[in-house]
Amino acid sequence: MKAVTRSGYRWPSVCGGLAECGICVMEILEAPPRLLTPGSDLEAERLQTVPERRVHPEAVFRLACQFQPGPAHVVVRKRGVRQLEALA
Amino acid sequence: MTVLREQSGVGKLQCVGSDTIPRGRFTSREFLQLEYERLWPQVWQIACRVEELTEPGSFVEYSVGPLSLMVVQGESGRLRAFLNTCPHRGTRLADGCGRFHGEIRCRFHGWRWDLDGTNTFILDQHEFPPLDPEDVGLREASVDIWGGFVFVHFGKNPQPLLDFLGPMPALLDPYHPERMRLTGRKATIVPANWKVVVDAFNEGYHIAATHPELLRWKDDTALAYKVFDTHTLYGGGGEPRPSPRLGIDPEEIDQNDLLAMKIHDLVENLPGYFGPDDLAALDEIISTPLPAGVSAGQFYLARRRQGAIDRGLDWSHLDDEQVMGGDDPLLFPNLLGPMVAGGWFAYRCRPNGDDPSTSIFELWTLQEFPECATPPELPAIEWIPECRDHDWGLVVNQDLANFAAIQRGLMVPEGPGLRWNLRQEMGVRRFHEVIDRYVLGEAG
Repeated sequence: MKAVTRSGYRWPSVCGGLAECGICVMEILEAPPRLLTPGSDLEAERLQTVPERRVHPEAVFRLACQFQPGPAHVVVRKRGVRQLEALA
Repeated sequence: MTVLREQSGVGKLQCVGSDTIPRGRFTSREFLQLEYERLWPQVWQIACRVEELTEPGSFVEYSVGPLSLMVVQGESGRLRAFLNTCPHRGTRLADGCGRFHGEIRCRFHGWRWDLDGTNTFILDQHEFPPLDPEDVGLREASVDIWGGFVFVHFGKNPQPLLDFLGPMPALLDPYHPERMRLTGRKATIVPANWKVVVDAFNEGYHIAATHPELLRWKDDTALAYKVFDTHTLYGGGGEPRPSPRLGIDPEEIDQNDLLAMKIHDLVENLPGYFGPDDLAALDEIISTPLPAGVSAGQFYLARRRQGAIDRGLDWSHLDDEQVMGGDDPLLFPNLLGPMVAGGWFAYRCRPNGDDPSTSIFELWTLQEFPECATPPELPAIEWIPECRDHDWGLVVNQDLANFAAIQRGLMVPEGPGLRWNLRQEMGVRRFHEVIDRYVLGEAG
């Protein structure tokens, strides 16, 4: 999420990256297997509450604020991402 | 005001109306005691539902701190409320709920009364000075009914209930609360002052931080707040759409997903919000793809209205918002919660003895039934020994998780005064203004 923000976009969030709101949740479309499961118990617990998982149980979701891909090729889907300039 | 502070010896009591208020009203035993002396004896309050009193002799004990009444159904079906104390030597006469078989009897010396409170037997009466029947009858308080709720007042001649309720009956009668029946009752002790609990449910400002999952379909910014002389209400935002806080363009939203998230959240995370009769219909709504050009809100509205007709409920007088989202009323002092077409997810909170830092919290779920239907069996009260060791559903779990932290934070010595959002917490402000009217002012 921080990387996206540094690149000039606003990623939806309420708690600002503390894994408390679940609003930053994103669907993983392409990623290495190691990135397809929650990175911590905290993230796993929060993912239990996100409604997207119930609506699309077949999809893979991660919290953007906890997602640390490193130099991997990753494709995700997230509605509501906006360029910060467009918001000004 | 100054005289009251000096007499009570509590320097921290202060009226709402200043920019901030001190915390003593949530933490001090003195304020709690003043509530027992000046608030609870002076207000109409909800004791129970009419369906809890089904036959002559049935009774419900209603207590708030040391104050206690018993509501009794008489031979004619009329309800009366009596102080729950024997006029002989004060023994408590009723506990919980049950049935007096033809008469009320004191366990200590066997005095007896008719169900209308008239004394019928005093053991060895000849050994007493001459007794006035009124002195040995049960002390009558006041009882009245609105919306299927039995209200009591500890005074004998209070203002009429409908005067006390002000505009609330007119606002809430369209939901037909008198046709609702209890489908669930839970009770527990929570680690917070009763007013902390009331405040927590009396605003939508906390949704973004405490219930963030709801923001996907609940526009919390669309909630509108109304304050009246004594009671308050907020509502709106029933049309399923994401909160603007998420920055999602409404055009991007899959309406099927939106509807599914709303229904999933209400069914799974607020268990009891919908009745059993609703659940099959809601499953069908989720599994039916929306017709082209029809929004989630339009589809939900149409299906809910048809479902009501199918079940024999008349919602023709309810507007779309009342069907989709409903209202969140607070009936001062302590009954509140989301009411929507078909039911009420209601909270009642009362002080717990002499401890200002805990309170008795109850969750009542009510559903509307057609007049011709056989009423459901009255659910037993499920007593929860440890409030956090129980799954109330995600939404209430999240609210309960806040209470201990709120109360402990309020108890920090010399903590700063409290301040409220002028719009979203106006109901909280009005609640405390009314509290002050009784506790620190000159009402009653």
